[in-house]
Amino acid sequence: MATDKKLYLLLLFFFLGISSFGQNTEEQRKYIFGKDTSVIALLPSISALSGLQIYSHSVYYYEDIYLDSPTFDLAKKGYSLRFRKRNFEDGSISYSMQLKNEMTELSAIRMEVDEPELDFYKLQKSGEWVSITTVLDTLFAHLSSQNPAEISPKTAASMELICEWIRFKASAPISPFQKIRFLEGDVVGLEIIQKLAPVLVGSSHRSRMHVYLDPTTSKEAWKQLPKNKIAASLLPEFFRKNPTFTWLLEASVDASRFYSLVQPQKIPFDIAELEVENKYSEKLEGTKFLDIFEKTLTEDFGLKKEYASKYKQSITFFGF
Amino acid sequence: MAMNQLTKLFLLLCVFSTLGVCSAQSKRGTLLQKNNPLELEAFFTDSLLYLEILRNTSNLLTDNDLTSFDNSPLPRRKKAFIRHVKHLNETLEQAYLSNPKMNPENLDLLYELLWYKHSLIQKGYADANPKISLRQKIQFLRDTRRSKRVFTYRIPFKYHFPTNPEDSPFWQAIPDSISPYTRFNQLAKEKKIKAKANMVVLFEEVSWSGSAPKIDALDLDLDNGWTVKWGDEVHTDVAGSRIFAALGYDVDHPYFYGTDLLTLVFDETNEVCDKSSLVAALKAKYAIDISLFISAYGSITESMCLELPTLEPLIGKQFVRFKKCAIEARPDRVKRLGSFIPEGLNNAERQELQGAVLAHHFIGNWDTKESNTLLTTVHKGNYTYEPSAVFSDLGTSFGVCVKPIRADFKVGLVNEFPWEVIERKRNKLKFTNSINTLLLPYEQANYTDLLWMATKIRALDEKSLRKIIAAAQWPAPIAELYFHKLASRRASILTAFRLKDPHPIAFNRNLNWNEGETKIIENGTLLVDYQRLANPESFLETKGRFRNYGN
Repeated sequence: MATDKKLYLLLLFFFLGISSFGQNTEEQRKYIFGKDTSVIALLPSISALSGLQIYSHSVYYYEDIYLDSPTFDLAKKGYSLRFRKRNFEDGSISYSMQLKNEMTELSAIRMEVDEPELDFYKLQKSGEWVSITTVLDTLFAHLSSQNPAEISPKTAASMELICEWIRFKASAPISPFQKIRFLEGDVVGLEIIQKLAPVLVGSSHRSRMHVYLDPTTSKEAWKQLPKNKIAASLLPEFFRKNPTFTWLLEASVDASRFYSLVQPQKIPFDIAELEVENKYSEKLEGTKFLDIFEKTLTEDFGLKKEYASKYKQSITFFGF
Repeated sequence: MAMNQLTKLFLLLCVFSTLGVCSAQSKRGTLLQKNNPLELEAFFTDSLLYLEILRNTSNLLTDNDLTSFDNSPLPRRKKAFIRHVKHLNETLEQAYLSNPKMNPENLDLLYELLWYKHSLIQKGYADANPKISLRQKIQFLRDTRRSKRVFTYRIPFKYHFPTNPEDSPFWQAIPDSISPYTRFNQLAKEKKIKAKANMVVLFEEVSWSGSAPKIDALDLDLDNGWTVKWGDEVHTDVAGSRIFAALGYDVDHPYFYGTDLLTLVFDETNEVCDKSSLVAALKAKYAIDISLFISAYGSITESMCLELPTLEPLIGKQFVRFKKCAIEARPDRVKRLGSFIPEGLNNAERQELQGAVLAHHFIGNWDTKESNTLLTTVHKGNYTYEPSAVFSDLGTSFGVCVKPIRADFKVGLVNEFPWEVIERKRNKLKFTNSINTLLLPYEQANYTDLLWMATKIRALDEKSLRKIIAAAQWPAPIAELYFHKLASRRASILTAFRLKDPHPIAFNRNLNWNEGETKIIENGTLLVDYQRLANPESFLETKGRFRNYGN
């Protein structure tokens, strides 16, 4: 009897159900560790102590440009807004613009509003139309500059082009701008957006891992838990290949470095942190697993819980 | 901007189209008209684009935080739709920065945005008022009565023989080189619809719309959806949609499935998880007992997989199969908005929409309400989306019996389907068909609009008609009777409009059909309630969906 494996997997995931993760939000926790701590090396021990399986699946390289007004209105209101360039292992690249809010001690739920495609946004440079991603690349090039303490004329020109574009697009149908206008009201929101300029540029090496349950090895009490209800198209390859595993959390170890574009002479700020996000469709159960994982990280390995975003940590470091 | 400037722009566009300059419009055709809607004027002053109004429109279409418009709720906008609108908006903003003077291409894109806006607002209103009110029902009956008066036309003494309108998202010319029948399949292919000979679909939920029993289901590919329907429209919808497609319109894509050819599989965690709960849920929602339509049910076994290997991953799951049903595609590539003729856009003046009333008469469609017109966007790949106007729910046709006092109606009653569509008396034409909603384009249609559509009906040849009827899969004698009636109706239209018939289709108004000693059809009339067990909805019984088809 011919069996279509792909079909089998698709169907399996259908009967696991379709997830309805809250749109534009994520439940996240962060932990900081010293530069000398290799969290990656600790993973087998973290896994053994927490009882949760961990699978490292990829390493990405991210480049970010954060925007804010000269008086840091976004930061004061608890938002961060960035252009992000993702460089994937297979050589592919994507650009997006993201608005997030700060996590608090009371809530680990973060708003995340994405403008997922930037390629078709164009601006005029020396009389010619160029994609905004081309201009962003000039700014990202500052990261590999011989002398990051100095803003080159090319970088300055690109920053000005980005500012012009933002001023022009402040009322346009761009999701993060729409959200700022919605949250702050049209008048105040527009004022804030029109004053935005690049303030930080940074890059992160991110090692990503799935935290999951394997029914053959997990604790007896966890074997009865319902399967993760998530659409097949949203499921990572690892879980498509191992349909009996239950995806609970997604963790990433970030090694990041940020440069100030406002005061470029300041030394760069390095961040080493572990982010963990709830991926379980049974959200409350997922939160319990975040707690279990956290207990191991903080009590057994001494990692420190952190609430501030990379952006907030950076501007605090730079003293803005 | 003055109207004459708009007219100039339109003429300019026509020139561009002829020269093949407007490549963006050559695919989907143009939306612009001789008299464009006044609301388009608000977008520019002295042919300079007014950016604020453009952005207000695009924000309304893309920002899900905007949940109402003029106190009416707005439906949630889907990702693919948002993406398309953002692309349109950006194209216009770049045009604004390059050369702010409005050109016809950009005017056409603005029209598209405006079309989406009005359709979205209409859908929000319709979603908030899903039940047909008593007032609407009374209006349906009024319009049904008024039809007889409205659909009487004086033949003008002098008139220009109509030519095809330009291709547009409302209608597209079918080249003479291809059979009109193939148009339906061509549209399905563009939308990536794949209806297999043996379908397996996964139950999702009982549908919340319409009056005929139906459910929403998912294809095994988990990307594309299907609506499964039972009752008196399972043949008529299939035939009606194919005829409209053959005339140049876009349509929904229904397919008939006979005994045991569709397997509906349940998820045990769903509230509706087997045959009993399906029957109960549909009875609760539609007051119809579909158990008479069920041919088999139980758990999927290994032996079933020998015949249908795609069932293998589903072994042990509950399933139901049917004597007959229809499924209608809900492809992932197609996003559905609201009506394609929302108010305020002058679309009622389009010849292709005015002429559509004759297509409704041809298939004897009764339910022409606004919500059966549907604006869609079709993803054509490579970031290309195109708007398309879909004539939806064409199944209330092919012989309709309306019982106002019992608040019931029945469709697909072959004996109620007249042999002629039209009567010509001296200089007047009178149609025999009634419709329940006199939409503006139908009410405004004139003789030449109908004459134009008559030329499209003329293009339907015997082969196309036979194939369409074969797709509907009526039982053999009923199918034969419908073929002869459609051929007769086609001939009556061509005769009334004095059109020469390049390929006459022979028909017999005194058709007889016997099976053994039993007379099934005599002198063009169905005599017996043909194979009632296999066809629980019946082809003779006038009790409709609100009286369980008399069962």
